[in-house]
Amino acid sequence: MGTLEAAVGMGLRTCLEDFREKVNRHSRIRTLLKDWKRVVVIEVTDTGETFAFIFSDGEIKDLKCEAVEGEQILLRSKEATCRDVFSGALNPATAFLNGQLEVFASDRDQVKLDAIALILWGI
Amino acid sequence: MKKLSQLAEYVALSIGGALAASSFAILSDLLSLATGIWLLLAIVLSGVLCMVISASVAELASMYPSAPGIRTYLKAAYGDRMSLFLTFLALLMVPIFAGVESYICMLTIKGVFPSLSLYWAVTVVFVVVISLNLAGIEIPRRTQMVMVFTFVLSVIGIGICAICGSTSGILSIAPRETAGGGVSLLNLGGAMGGAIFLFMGFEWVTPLGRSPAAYKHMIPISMPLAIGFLILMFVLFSAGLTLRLTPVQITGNQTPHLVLGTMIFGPRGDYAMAFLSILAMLTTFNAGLMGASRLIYGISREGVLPPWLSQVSLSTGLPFRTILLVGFAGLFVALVELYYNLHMQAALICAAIYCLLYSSLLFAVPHLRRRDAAAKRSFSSPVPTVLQGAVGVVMLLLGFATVFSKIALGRTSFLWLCQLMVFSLILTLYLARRRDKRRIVPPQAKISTVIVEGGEVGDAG
Repeated sequence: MGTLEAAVGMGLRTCLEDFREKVNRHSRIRTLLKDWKRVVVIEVTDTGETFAFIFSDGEIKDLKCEAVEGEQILLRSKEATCRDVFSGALNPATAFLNGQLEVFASDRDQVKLDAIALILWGI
Repeated sequence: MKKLSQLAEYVALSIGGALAASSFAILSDLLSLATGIWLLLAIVLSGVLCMVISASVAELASMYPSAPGIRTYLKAAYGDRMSLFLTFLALLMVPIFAGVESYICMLTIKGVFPSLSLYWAVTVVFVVVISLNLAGIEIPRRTQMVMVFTFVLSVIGIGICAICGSTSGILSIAPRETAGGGVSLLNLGGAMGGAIFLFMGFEWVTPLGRSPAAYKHMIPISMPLAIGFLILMFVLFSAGLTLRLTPVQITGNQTPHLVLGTMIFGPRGDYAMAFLSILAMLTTFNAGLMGASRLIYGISREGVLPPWLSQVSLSTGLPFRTILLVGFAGLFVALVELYYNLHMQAALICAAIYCLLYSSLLFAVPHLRRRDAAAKRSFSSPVPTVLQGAVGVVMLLLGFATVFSKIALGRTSFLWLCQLMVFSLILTLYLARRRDKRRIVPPQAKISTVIVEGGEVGDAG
């Protein structure tokens, strides 16, 4: 991986780590995510990066830089959109409705993921 | 094997979107326009028309995989306001159609249990469906698949039994004078128009792909396959109806399948048909309530609809307010339709709106190809652009013709349709303007507090 790619990857990874910390600190989100076991795979379409959040016991247990086995939800988007969504700069529902963000999950899981953004940032 | 299983799942979802208890009533209505071989031909040709539409929808879905259908596709093609107008029209159609569907289904059940109160039956059905949705009880996809194929194979089986039990046999199906006294051949066009409604809803599978790869082949193939199954089902069932029932038994009878069921299975055959009607209604209700509530939730999260609609229960993770809104709106409209006997007008209006939506989707594809040729498309419709446009025009004309297909009801249906369109337009202009005004408020003035009330999450607005 080249230097620029590493920088971009690190930027998004930092953003995702930050998101993970915020989610795990929030008591209301822990209630929302209670008994919810999922692996949320994030595919960055323009850089080819893949990340995976492992949700379990009401929190994000881990962030991996690769796809992981498990009951999966797949999110796909460009790097800039991913960063905006996971930093609260972009309403994920708007991104989804505009086709910028692809979310392959059941209706219920989609709403749950979106509710995280609503709780964290009110967007 | 896994791929075949996945394809079967998508086919079942597509069929499930089109299945409705009112399909039997539609067939009865069609038999007043065309009989015998002409009706069967009308069903086949209408199905082929829907296959053309499905190719366009599949291309749009491949451009925006997992997206919530019309809102996204039409926004990309025509812009925000036009998309909102058509989306609101589609959402207004949901409770209206729920009323039609519940009426026909309860009428079927009343045929088996004559003392049943339609008002109470409709109310109970809606309350049960709303409660199941609020509790977050989802029918697993595999179970849905079993329900759908049970229905399809049962109806096919009944059709075959009816045909085999006929003294004259299927080759004797000949056009006979319709109830209206017209010649069936000339009414083929009208019957085709009516038969389109047997397939409407097949496109509900498009937001349900499990992966991007599904939009390359599986979902594009699933829709025409689903339509193929439906063609076979309706052709065999219509043939059975035609061969076994007299025109008097069919015409104006919204539950001809009850009569056929009794004829084939004996005195308790109507139980079997009532069960099938309930099965069909449940697939429609479930998909309609869930789909509409999620769409309203999404539009609320966009900032168009009020933020209180996007409140989510922390315990279930469900947008309970939109579920309640759609559910009780459906119940209210159903009871109004029942009280004023408006289900026929409601059916005509729903059909007309659907024709407009299909037309919009058909025109969207060539428009996006011209405007955004470089956009990624994992599937491209093989239907020539000219043909897509021609079918789009046909759908528009069909929608208009449908409203006036019942001469006695044409004027009122048309007026109601116009009122719905005006209402949708006013809603669009007002809400979009309000959202745009809120967007230009300076960031420091924005309220971003999250209110937590009794386990609910919402925007302070």
